[in-house]
Amino acid sequence: MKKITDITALIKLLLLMFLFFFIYDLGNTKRLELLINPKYFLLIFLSEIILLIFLIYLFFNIFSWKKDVLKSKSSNKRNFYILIIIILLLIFQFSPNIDIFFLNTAKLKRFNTSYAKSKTNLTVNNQKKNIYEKENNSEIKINKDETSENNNIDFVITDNNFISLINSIHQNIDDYMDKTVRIKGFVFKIEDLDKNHFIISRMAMFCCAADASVIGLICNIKNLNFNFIENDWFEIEAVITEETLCLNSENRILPVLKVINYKKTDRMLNPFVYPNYK
Amino acid sequence: MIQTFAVIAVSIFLEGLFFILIGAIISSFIEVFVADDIIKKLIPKNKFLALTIVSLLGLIFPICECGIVPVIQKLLKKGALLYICITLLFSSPIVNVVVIVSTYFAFSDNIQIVILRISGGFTISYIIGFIISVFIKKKNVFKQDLFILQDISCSCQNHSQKDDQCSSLGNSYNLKSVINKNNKMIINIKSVIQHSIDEFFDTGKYFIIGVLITSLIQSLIPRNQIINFGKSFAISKLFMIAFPYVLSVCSNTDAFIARSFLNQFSTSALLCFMIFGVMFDIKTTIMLKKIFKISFIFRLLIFVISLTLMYSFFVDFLEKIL
Repeated sequence: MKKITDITALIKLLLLMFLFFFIYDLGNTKRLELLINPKYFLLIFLSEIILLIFLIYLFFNIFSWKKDVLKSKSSNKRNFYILIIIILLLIFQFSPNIDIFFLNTAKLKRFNTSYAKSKTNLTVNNQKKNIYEKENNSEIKINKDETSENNNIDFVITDNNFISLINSIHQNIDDYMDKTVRIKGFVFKIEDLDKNHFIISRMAMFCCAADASVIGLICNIKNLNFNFIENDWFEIEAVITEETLCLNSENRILPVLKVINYKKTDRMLNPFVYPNYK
Repeated sequence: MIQTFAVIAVSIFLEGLFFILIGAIISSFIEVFVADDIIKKLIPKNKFLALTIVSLLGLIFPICECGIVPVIQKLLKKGALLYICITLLFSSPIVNVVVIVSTYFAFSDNIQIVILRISGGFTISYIIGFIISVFIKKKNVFKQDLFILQDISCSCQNHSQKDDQCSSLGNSYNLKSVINKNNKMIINIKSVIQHSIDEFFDTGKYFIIGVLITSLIQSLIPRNQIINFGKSFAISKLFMIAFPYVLSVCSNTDAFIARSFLNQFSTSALLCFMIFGVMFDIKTTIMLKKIFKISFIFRLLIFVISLTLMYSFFVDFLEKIL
């Protein structure tokens, strides 16, 4: 009976198998899009093909894989692989649970305030203004079909236009004043806002879950007798107004949604929105 | 916390996986198909010309910071000069078609930022290459085992040192006795796969350690608080150097993250993020540890930080006078 001459080859084979099926499972259970921006899916697919080739090659050559005669520290190496397997198993034992990640990320207050440009702090140079103008001209597409459901709604913020539209509203408040909008997201509260305000938010993912941050629009619920609990999901209809609010110890004139209608909804399977680069 | 850690770790790992694999494959191609003396012959004798060509290689050879590490390791083993490899290490992930396009899209057609970023990357990697060529003695910087392996024609586990035999392909093949070219090609391809597997695991372990450290830091520290702290003008540049170092995002997409700081930081601070972040981050540092001594990596880090800061001050100066 043939013997495996190099135990590290067996460890490599197991790791490759583990990695291949783990990524396959992530894709199969649609959890991949919760970890990485869908524009990377092609690269993940190519990685899977390469891993499969490695796997097949290693599988058929496992018995003839020779020990490394040049490196004397093979036992250290083996220990390292075993350590990596244990770490990976530990991580994947807690298989990426986006719900808990989502709550933790919110807890870490990763609110992306970059879009919240203060009117009183208009120090952007012409170059930056050009960026906004070009972006607003090129990126924002408000689909008329999306507005046809309800004549009272001027536009709907959807998954596809979430980042670009919110960016645009923050940069050009005047263009959107008194418009009625429908938006769906989760309730996010930050210390700077009083009990009459919360942020209707989504998680923005530019690249992967590591850079995910919460983005959204501040809502005013002063006239509503309802307690919006953090992390609950709502679909709200609101009028865009502006208010002076203190964020990060700085007074800013910000777009604020005056909520006129709200409906509690189920949490969306994918809390992320992705930037539209086109 | 462990869930946040797991999600961040897996997502960064998935993001870099393809580039690690490609880096491993390219380095294996170099190993198998490129003869030792070819690299030396290809590089121009004139130092300045050589640095210019290498700094622009990324335009036809786009590879990110994770993938370039195994490639430069292989080039060093093949006898490429240290300053050439270091220039390639820093320039390839930034003077790169993919990075140019992604920066262009991220900053909504703002060609100025694209030019400033690419020229910054080119200049800094060129200067570092030049400094190394003048001041650094080659032998002092490598980990010892890198040069033990350099003496043999192939550094994989399964090539023997003297008789040119490759035992990785099932039975021992004597390469000199291969009769026809097709067989040789098949053997070479098999050899590339075998090298790639070894290289993938060799580089991958450093990559994983880097990913784990980055994920741990990210899952512990509230990012928004750090950003607020970093907005102070006095430290904004330093912050925009330290932040991408911890964040360890891929060079192909970091422009989109930088763009989200557009209102909070100056153009020069954003350039610090986009230039330094591509050249150095936690995972790259750990991966470089495989090749270089820590003291040399530290010196490189100081060079890159200093030059990035100087470049950002130069951009501030340009903004004032223009």
